[in-house]
Amino acid sequence: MDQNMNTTPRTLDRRSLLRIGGLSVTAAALVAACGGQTEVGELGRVGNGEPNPALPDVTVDDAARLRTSASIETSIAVALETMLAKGWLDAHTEAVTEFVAHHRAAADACNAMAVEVGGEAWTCGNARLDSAYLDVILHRIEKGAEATDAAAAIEPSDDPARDAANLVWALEELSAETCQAMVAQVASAAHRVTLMELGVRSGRQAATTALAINPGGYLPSDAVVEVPAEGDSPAQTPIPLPAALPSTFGALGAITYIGGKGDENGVRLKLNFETPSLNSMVYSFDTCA
Amino acid sequence: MNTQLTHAAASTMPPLKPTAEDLALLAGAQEAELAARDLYDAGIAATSWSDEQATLMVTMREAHESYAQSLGAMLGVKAPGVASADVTAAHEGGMSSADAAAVLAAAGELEAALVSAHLGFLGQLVAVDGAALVASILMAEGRHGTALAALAGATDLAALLGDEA
Repeated sequence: MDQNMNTTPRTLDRRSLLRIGGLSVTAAALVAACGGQTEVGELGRVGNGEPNPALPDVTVDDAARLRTSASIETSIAVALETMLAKGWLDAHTEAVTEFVAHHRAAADACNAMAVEVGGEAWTCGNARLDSAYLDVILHRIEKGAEATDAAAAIEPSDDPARDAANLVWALEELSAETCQAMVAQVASAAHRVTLMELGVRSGRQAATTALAINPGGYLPSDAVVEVPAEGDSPAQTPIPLPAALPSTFGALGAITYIGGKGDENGVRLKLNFETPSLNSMVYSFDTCA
Repeated sequence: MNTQLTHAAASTMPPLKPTAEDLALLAGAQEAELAARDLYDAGIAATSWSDEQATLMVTMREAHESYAQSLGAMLGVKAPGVASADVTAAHEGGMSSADAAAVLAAAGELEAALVSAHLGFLGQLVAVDGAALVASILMAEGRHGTALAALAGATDLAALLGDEA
């Protein structure tokens, strides 16, 4: 070991002086930038950008829950009307037309309850349900998907009538589940009853639709719609057949929708509908555009 | 400022566990479900069934027993554990018929009556747990009505949706 290592005095050469000088200038610039804007205990900001926007406080109360229910019902009604107008549901026109009337009435009933608890009626659809689910599915059925850098284009649906009927079933299930889920969240017993009157009706509509799609399909099974490989086209993702009585108790789980034409590997669009949660609620500060 | 997410004030929220009054209502619901189970037993034994019909009748019988058991679990020692004499008396005639079509029609009426009864209970229940359980039961029973109508051969929308009652 070098015994002189700790005893040799360090000298300040020209390079060291320049380094220290540069650091001092940088520190002074930072202090100057932060000066006058920083309270004791707060982190200083660098630069002169706008401050972070103040987001509104949100409260999940009965008014928000019931407005959300109304928005879900309206979105469902609009989606059913859209599919009827496109002629995809010609085999179910009478039933789906009646379903639309039910969902419009359900939206009105939910809005009436929201007003009762001090909220404002919400006559628009649910933005989250529309943008993340319904717009995506309807676009995929009608137009497929454009090519990207990583994936080939996807053709429009190979069977729009099948996909539309399955979407009707999924939306009826969503309506039923949403009403049932809200029972455990709203305080008023009278509102619970109204929600379940609406929900049971939607549940029966879901069961009716399931039997129309899958005659004799009372109970869950492994039955699927299969499209095998043909020529250059790969086998398509199997589509499960719905059941009229999918579970012993009223369920609150995800509702799986599979539809549209498969991609270059035969994989169809798959989405899980779920009952409303925080990012799909219609809060008091939301406005109906 | 960060977004603050709050739920409604705790004082406005109903309790989770059933109140004393709730327990009496849930006891009534259990009695109704036990009566339904017994009525399905009678209907299944009363006539001959196709495989499809038998499967569905047994499934619904088992469902009503499950509902009674779930209500019993919530009621604990206060569970009555006996069938409702009123529900039995109101439906035993149709459910004991030797005609399968008549039993299916009677079962449909029984399910509709149960939905109506549970909506009545729901309108008086205060606590969340009991209300949520009753809601999940009556949702399934509503769908039973559609399945029974279809099983009986109904194809018109009013019958399938229960609008004829």
